[in-house]
Amino acid sequence: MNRQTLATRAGSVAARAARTWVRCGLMLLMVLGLSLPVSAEGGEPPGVIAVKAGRVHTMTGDAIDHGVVIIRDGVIEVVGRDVEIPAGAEVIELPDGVITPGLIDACCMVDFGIPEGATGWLHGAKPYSFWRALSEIQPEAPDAPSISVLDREFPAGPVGAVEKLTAGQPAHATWADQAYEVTPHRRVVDSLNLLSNDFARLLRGGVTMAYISPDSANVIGGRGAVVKTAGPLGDRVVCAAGAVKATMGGDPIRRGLPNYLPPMYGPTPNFHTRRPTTRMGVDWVFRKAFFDAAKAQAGEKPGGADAPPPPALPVLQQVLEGRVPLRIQARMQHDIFSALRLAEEFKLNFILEEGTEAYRCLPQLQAAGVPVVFGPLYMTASGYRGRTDEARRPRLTTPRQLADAGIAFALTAQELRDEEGLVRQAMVAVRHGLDEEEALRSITTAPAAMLGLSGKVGELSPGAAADLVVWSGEPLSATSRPKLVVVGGEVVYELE
Amino acid sequence: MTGCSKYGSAMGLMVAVVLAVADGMAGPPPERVALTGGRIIPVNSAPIAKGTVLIERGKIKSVGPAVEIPYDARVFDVSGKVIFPGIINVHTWRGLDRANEARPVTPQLDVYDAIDPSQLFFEDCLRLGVTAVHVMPGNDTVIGGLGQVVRPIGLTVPAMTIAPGEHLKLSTTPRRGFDHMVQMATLRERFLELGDYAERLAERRYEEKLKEDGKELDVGPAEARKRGRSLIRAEDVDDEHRNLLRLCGGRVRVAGKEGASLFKPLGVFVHCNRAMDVGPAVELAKRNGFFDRTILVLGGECTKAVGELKRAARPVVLPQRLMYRETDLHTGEVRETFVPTAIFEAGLMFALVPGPDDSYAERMPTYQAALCVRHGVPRDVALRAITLTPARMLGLEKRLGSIEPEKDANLVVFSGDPLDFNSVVERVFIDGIPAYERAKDVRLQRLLTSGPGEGEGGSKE
Amino acid sequence: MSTSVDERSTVPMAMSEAERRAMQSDRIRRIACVGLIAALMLPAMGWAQAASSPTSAQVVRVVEANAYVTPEGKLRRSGRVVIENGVIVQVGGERPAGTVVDGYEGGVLCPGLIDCHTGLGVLGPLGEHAAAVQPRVRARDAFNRYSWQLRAALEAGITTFGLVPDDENLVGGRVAVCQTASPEGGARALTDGGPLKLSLAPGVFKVDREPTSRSAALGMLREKLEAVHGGSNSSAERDALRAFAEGRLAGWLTAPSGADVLAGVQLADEYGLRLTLIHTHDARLVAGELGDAVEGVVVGPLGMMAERRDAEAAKRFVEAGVPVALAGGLPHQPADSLRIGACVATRAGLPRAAARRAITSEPAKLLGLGKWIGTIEKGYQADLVVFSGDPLDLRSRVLAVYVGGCRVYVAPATATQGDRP
Repeated sequence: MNRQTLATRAGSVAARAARTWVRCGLMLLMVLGLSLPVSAEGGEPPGVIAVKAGRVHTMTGDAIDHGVVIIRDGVIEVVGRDVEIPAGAEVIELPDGVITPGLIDACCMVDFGIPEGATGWLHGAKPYSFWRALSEIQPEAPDAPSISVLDREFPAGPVGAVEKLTAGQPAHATWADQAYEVTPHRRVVDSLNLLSNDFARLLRGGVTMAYISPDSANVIGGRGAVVKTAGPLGDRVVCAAGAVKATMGGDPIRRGLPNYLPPMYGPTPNFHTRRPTTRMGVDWVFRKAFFDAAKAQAGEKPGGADAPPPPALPVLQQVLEGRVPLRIQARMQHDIFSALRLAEEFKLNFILEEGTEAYRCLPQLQAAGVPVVFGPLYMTASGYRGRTDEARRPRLTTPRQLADAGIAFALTAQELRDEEGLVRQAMVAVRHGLDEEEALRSITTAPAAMLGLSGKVGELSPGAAADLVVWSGEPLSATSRPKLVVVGGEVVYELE
Repeated sequence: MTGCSKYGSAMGLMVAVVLAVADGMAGPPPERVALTGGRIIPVNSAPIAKGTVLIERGKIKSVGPAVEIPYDARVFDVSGKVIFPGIINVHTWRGLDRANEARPVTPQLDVYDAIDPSQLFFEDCLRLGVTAVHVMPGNDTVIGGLGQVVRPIGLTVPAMTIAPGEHLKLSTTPRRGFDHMVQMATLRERFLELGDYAERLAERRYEEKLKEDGKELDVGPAEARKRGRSLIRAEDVDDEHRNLLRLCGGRVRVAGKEGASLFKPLGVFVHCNRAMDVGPAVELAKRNGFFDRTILVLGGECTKAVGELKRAARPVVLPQRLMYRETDLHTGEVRETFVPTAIFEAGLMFALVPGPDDSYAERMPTYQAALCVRHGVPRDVALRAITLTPARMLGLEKRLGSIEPEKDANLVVFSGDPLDFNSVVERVFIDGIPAYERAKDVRLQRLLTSGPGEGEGGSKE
Repeated sequence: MSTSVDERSTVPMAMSEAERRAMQSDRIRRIACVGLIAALMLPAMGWAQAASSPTSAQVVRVVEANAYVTPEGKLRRSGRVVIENGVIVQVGGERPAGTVVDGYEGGVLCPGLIDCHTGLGVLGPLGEHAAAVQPRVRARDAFNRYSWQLRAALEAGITTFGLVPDDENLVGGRVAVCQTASPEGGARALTDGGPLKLSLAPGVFKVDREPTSRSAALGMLREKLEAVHGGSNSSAERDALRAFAEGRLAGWLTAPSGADVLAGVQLADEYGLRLTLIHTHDARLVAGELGDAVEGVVVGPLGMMAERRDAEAAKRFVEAGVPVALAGGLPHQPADSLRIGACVATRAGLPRAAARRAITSEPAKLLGLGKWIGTIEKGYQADLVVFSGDPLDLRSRVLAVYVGGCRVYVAPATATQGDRP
C-alpha cells in the first residue's frame, strides 16, 4: 500500500460520498418500487408544482374538467379550471389523466404474512396474501396449498429467512401481542415495518394514507396507527396511537389453543392456551375490562377473574370518557349485535370494522349511528377469512344498502392488494349499485372523516395535504391505473 | 332454505337452473331467433352501432344494421345492450373432479369420462358469458390425456360436446415429486418407446399380411418394417400408444378403405410454467413432429423467454394471473411484468383465460381483457384473445369466436360494453337456445338482495 | 524477524581470573550503591514491579516495523513505537538508546484487533432466559479465561473482545470487555460493567412469557424506561436501567431489521439514550435515518458468502457519518473472520482507512474504552499486532502480538511450524 494511493483515496472519499448519497436516495426509491421522480435532475424539489389533467375530482364539489392543481410546499394552494400557474412552477401535464385525492384505506392490514419465531404457526392463521406472495416470489410454487410450508417458508435458505425479517416479509408486523386478552396499551405502530414492500404496493394502487389496524387476535387489542404510504420516513407516521381495536366473534377464539385438554393430550401451557374459547368468553372479557376500568376510575381496586392488566386500565378509562376512539371488528350478525349491546351498556361510541353481515343489521346500526368501515367485497371468502366460518353470507350490495340507509361508511381492502385493492373494491361496489360519486367519497373523504382528518386529507381543497393520484382514465374503470402519485407535494410514483 | 345444508341448497338451485334451461331444450328449439336493437361487436369486423342478429337452426344466419326478420322468429329486443360472441375458455381443468391422475404418463385418458355436467363451474361460466370450455387435464402431469371442448349446458357429456377431443396435454414443467431431469427423461423415453412400438407393430403387420397371402418372409426386419408401416390399422394400436401416435402424426389404415389414411392428428397443449421449460418444449415438439400443432401454456415467468417464444412463433395461452411479480432476494426490489404486453409486443398469438376464483374481478374473462387494455394492449386484440383466438387455437374458427353468418349462434348480451366493469351478462344464447337469463338467476340474486334477507333481522336482544 | 543487536545480554562471557576478581569487587560496590539508593527510594517507588523476565513491561521497549496504522486508519511508513510500563510513550521519531528493540522487517504495526461482538471463551450459554428484562446479569460471569478459543483468537491478532449476552432477551445483561492475553500471562476480563445489551431479534418473542410481539417489546421497553424515573424498580435494576435511561450508560441494541433500527433510533431520540445498534441487513434503507441519534453501528459478521447488500452496510453507514465497528462473530465464525469481514467490506466500497478503524479504534470507542486502547497513539495501552503486511490484506499473517507492552505471542518462523498459516 503506497502513500500516494492512500492520498488519492482519501481525496476522493468526499466526492464518492456525495455521489453515493444520491445513489442511496435513488436506491431507496427503487426499493419502494418507484421509478425516478420527475425532478431527479435538479436534486432539490421545486416548491411549487402545477398538475394539469383532463378532469379533477376535488371531492368538495363537482368534478372540474381540464382542471389544474397548484401545490406549494407540500400543501394544496388552489384548484380550479382557469387558474394562473405561478412563475417557476414545475408543470406536470397529463391531458388524458383524471386526478383524485390520494386514496385512504381506513382499515389496512399491512404485511399480513406469517409471523416467525416463537409465535410460529398459529392455529388456522394462514392469510390470503401469503399464498399470493409465495407464488409471486417463487414462480414454480404450484397453487395447491399442500406443499409443506416449511419448504417454502424460506425460499432461499437462510437468506430467505433473513429476507423475511426485513423489508420483504417481516415478522410480527401487525400481529397482536398475545400475552393478555386485553392490550390497549400496546400500539401497532411498534410492530410496523415502514420499509416494507407492502407500502409500495399500496402506493401503486393509489393509496396514499392507511389506518393500520391491529390484527384480531385479542378481544381488546392494541391501538392502530395512521401512516402515509410514501415520503420521508420521519414524516410517515401521522398518528401513532389511534383507536383501540376490539374484536367480537371467533377470531380471538381461533387464535388461542384449547386449554381444556389434559396434560399430555393438549399443548403445553403458553399464552396461546388461554381464554376465551367461546363467544360468551369474548363478551365476558370485553365487559370485564371496561367494568374494571370504570371501577378503577371510581377509586375501587379491580380484581377477580380475568382482570385486565394494570397498564390497560388508563387507556380503557380514556375510551370510556370518549377521549380515545374505539373500533370493534365483527363479521356476523349476532357479533354485530353483541358489539351494539356492549357499547350501549358502557355508553361507548365505536366504529364497526369489516361488518360482513351489516346488511342484516341496518336498522340497528342506523339507530345507534355507528359508522362502518366495510370490506373487502367478495363472493366467496378466501384465505384467512375463508377459514373462519363467519364469512359465509356476504352480500355484494352491502355498500349500496349502507348508503341507502344513511349509514356513514368507508370501504377498505384490508390485506388485499392489486386487483382486489382499494380502488377495485370501490369498482366492485359501483358494479353492484353504489353511486360512483358515493364510491369515490367512501375511499377519500369518508375515511378521512373517520380518522379525524377532514379537510386535511382525502380532498383537493386549499390547505389540504398535497396527496393526489393521476389516473390514466376514470379511476373506477377497469382500464385505468395510477400514472402519477404525489404525496406531500413530492412525486413518489410515476408510471414509466 | 335455512334448514338446508349449503350443498343441498346449491344442488337444488343448480337443478332449478338446469331445468329452466332444459325447459328451453325440452321441445325443439325455436327455428329462428332474432336479437334486435343492440350494439353488435362481431370481433372480426367493425362494431355495428345498432343492429340485428338473425339465428336459424342454431347457426347465425345474418348480422347487420337492417336485417329482415322472418315472421316466425322469436324476437328478443336488446336495445341499449351489447351483443358479443360467446367467450371461450381455452384451457382449464375445471369441470373435472380432479385435475390430474396420480400416475405421471397417461395419454390414454380422456376428460370425456370425467366431465361432470352438474358442477357449479358450468353454471358460473354462463354468468360470465363463457359459452365454450376446453376442458383439459391439469398441469401436474407429464403426459396428461385428451381434452374436449364442451358447452356449459347439457345434462350429459355428449349433449355438452361441441367438438371431440383433439388436443393432448403435456408438461415440461416437472410435476409434483419430479424434477426437471426426470420429467424430460420420461418424456423422451415415452416418445422413443413409441417409435419402437410403431416399428414392432409394422413388422408384425407385415408378417401377418404375408401369412394371409400365404407367402414366406423373404426380407430382413428393416425392410419388413418399412413395408408394414402402411398396413397398420386403427384396431392394431393399443390405448397406451394410440393418442401419442396420433400426436406424432402416425399413419394408420382405417378399416375398409384402400391405402393408408391418417387418424386425425392431435394437437397438444404443453404446460411451461417457467422460462426454462419453453426451450425443452419446443425441442421436444420439433423432434417428434408435432411442433406445428403445439400450443404453449405459459406461466408468468415465461416473459423472460420471449425471444424463444418469438422464434417458435406458436400460439400461447397466458397464465391466470397476468401480472408477474418477482422480488429480488438481494435488493428487495419488486419487479412487475405485465405478461400480455410482453407477449403482444413479441407479435405472438395469445389467448386469455379467466383468473383465479378467489379474485372477484379477475375471474371474469372480460376483466382480464380490460386489464390488457389498461396496460396498453389494443382493445380489439384483447377482445379477440377471449373469443376468436381461442377458437383458432382449437381449430374451431369456422364455428366459434365471432358473430358471422354460418357460425354457431353462441352469443352473449351484455348490459353495456364488455370491458366496462359495470356491465353484466344479461343473456346467453348457445346454439340459438336461450341458455341463461340474469333476471331468472336465482343463485346470483341471492348475493344481491336488498334488505336483511331470510327474515332474520330481529332485535338486538 | 530478528531481535536487534543492542539487546543487553546476561550471558556471561569467558574472562581471566584477574578480570573476574576485579569485576566482582566492582559489582559488589555497585550493588551496595544501588541498594542504598533503592532503600532510600523504595518508599517513593510504589508497588513492586512485575516478575523479572527478560521481556518485562518495566523495560522500555521499542517495536519497529516497516509501517504502522495511524489513528485515522491509514498506513504510514516507519512504524516505531516506544513502550514504557505498558503504555505507548512515543510513536515514530528516533529510536531511544538503551532499549530492547523488537524489529520486524516488512511488518506493519496495527493496534490489537478488537472484536466487539463475540461469545468467545464462554462456559455454557450466554443467555439467561429467566426473564425478559434482566439488567443485573453480567456476561463477565460466564467468561472462562482458560478456554482454548482465546488462544486461537489471540493468534489471529485479536487482543480485546466484547463478550455480549445473546439476543434472546429484551434486556439481556451487561457486556463484558475481555482480553485474550495479558502481561501476567492469561486471558482476563477488563471490565464487567460494560454497555447494557438489548435486543429486538425474533428470538425475544416467546410463547410463555412476555413479550410475544414487537409492540409488546417496545411497549415494555418504554414502560421500563419511564418507570425508572418513577423509581419503582428494584435497586440493582434501577441502577443500570436508570443509568441507561439517563444516558450515562451506553446500550447496545440488536436490530436485525430496518424497522428495528428505526424503532431504536426513535427510542434514542425520545429518551436521550446512548445507543449503539447492531445491524447489517437493511443498511441501505436506514443509513440515512440515523443522524446523530446513535453512537455507532456494529456491522457483521461478514463472511466471504456475504450478500452484496450486507457487505455494503459498513460503507453506507460510514457515508452517512455514523461510526461503524465490524464484528467478527467468534467463536461461531473462524478466528480470521474479523479481517475477512473488513476485506469483504472494503471490496464492497468501504474505504480502507475506515475498515482499519472499524476493527480497532471504533470498537474500542463503542465498548467505552476509546481513550485507552484501539489506537497507536501516545498515552494508549501498548496492545499491538504485527502483521506481515497490511492487515486488510488477507495474505498478511500475524507475526507477533503485544498486550500491555508484553509480547504474548510470536508466530513460528516458517509456515510449516505451528498450526497457523
